[in-house]
Formats: sequence, C-alpha cells, structure tokens
Amino acid sequence: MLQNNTGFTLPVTLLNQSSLNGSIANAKRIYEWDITSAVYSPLTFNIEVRFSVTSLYQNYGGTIAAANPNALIAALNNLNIGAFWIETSGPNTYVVTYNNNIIYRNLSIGTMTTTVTYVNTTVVPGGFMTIDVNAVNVVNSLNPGSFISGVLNLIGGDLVDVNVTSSPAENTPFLVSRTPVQPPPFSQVLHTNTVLGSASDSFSFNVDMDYTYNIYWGIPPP
Amino acid sequence: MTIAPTITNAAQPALSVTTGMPNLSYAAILNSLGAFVWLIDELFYSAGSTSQFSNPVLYKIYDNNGDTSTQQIVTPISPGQFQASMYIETGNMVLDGQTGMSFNLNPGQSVQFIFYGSKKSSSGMLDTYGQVNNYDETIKAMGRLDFFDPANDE
Repeated sequence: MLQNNTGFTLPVTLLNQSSLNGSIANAKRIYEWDITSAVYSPLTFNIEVRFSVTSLYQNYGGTIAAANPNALIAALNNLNIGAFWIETSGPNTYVVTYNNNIIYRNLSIGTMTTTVTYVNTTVVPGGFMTIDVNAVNVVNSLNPGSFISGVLNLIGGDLVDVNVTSSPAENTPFLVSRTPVQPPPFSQVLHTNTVLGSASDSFSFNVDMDYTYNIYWGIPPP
Repeated sequence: MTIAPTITNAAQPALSVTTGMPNLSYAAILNSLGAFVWLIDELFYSAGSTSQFSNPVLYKIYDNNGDTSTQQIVTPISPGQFQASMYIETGNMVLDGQTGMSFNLNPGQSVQFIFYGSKKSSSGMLDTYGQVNNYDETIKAMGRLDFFDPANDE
C-alpha cells in the first residue's frame, strides 16, 4: 500500500535496490530549495550530495533541457540520487525531496557561486569597511552606526578588495579567513591585522570555488 | 546561483509504503531482493480513484549489457470503467533488486499492488533433470534424499 501524504504529485520508484538510498518511501527528513529567483543561464545545474555522514560531498550535475523548474526536476531525477518534485507556496517555488539516508547540500543553477560573508561590528562612527568585487564597490559601510553584515555570491576568480578604516586609530581587529567546502571544516586565516593602533588596513584575494570566505571587521568571531 | 537547502523533519513521510503483513516493513522486502528472486506473472493494481490510472506504471529492467529497458505494464483504463482496479498479466516480470517500477502518484492518492508469482533461486539449474530454478525439486528429481536428513548418515 502506498499513500501520498502531500498535495503534490510524487515520483515513485518501487522495489529497486539501486535507488534504496534515494527512495522517498517512508522518509521524513525534508530538503527544500527556494528556486523562485533562479536564473537558468547557462542551462546547467549542480547539487552537492554525500551518502553518509563520514563521506565527502560529491558534485552531481549536468545540463537542463529548458529554462524552467520542470526541466530542472527532470534533470535531477535522472541522476538517480533521489526523487525530486516541485512545490509552490504563494509566489515561491521550491525543489523538494524527502530522504533519510542521502545528505544534500547546495543546489546551484546556472553559474556556480561560492559565498563571501562579511561582518562589520564597529558600530561607532568612523569604523567603516568597503568591499570591491572586480573593482566595483559592492559594500560601503561608511560610518554605519549600526551592525552591518551580509553575503556575497561570487564565482571563481573574482577579485575581492577589502579596505577597513577606523577613526580615530584604534586596535580594531580585522580578520579574513576561508573554510573549505569539503570537510574537514577547518578555517584558514588569510589575513589578520596584528599592527596595533593602525588607522586602516586592506587585503585582496581571488575567490576559489573550493572555499567559502569570511570577512570580520571589529569583534572577531568566536 | 547557489541555493542552500532548508532542512526540516516532517511528522509524516511524503510517501508512506507499507506491506500487507504485520511486522514486515517495505525496507525489509527491498533488502531481501537478490537473495530472494521473484517471478511475477500477475499483478493486482488498485487506486483510490480512476484518475490515478492516467499515470502509466513503468517496469525497468537491465539487460546483460547493463542497458536499461523500460516497459509499460499498466496502461490507462477504459474511460467507461468504474472500478479503480485491474488485474494485469505481467508475463515474466522479475523482481531481483535490479529491476523496479516507477510511476507518478497523484496528490493525496493511495494505491495498492498485490503481486502473484513464485520464488525463484538465483542459481543455475541442472537441465538434465528438466527442473527449473528450485533446489528442492532438483534434489527429488535426482532421486536423492535431503542432505540434512539424518537417515543419510552412513
């Protein structure tokens, strides 16, 4: 006996051991990706998957036949790493799967990106930070007066220039680090401001898709 | 664009699969395939409503080259049919873990499959005695007693 407990059509595979890990039968862990704002250019996709908590994430992907969610679902289901379907909630569109065995992570549609997270905790005026990506200023926290943070999605090779200034000069920590996408998730410090009493500092780096990046200006992370 | 998933735990699964036997889970049946091979010659298929039958049920099998072959074993019913069920003669439909069925299950719908067939051995048989895929029959056909029968001790 099979029962669909959702309000959506489910792709069902029955009695096939090769899809044992990818089967949605009786699975209760839900994975949802909000693809409402997805841009299908180029027509490629990638999903990060690992088959046990002790294994590494692997990339599965390919091409999408058309620039719409149904084509994305068809391409995902052809990978035989689970059963995916589309659910809508108001104006939002989600890719959904249930699985108790396979562990999914990021879904990339179109150009693959990695994240650069920035945090500016120097809430006093005069402690500002600018981030230029490929010579285009994208973050300017001039005299913020409040906590500033955000995430940039960049692609491999992007040049990031970080400039920080405090006025008056004070011992404000400045830290740039990166964490490998694949475990073990040990962060590597790329730059730290160890010069006391400096009024400004800067650091530049090229984005590598195998890492995520963190920029802290102010109170360092725990 | 890279999208991180939202991961939650649902109170009930999206797809519930149960067997008709108490204390026997679908996972147990699935894991037993290969050690147990089934030859299905008839299939009873029922659904909550006839609209489910507009979704074909496909049977996928791998040949010796590793290529997949897909057959449609459940066809749409006649528009005039009232009963939401059918008997299907499947021919030599093998369930050995390498084959499987796939279909789309409509929202809120429930379906039931009852398989009619026999258990087969995954090992080869002795053609000399004209038996097929059954150890017990082979032993009897060879005129020998059960290996584990104490009467065989010499």
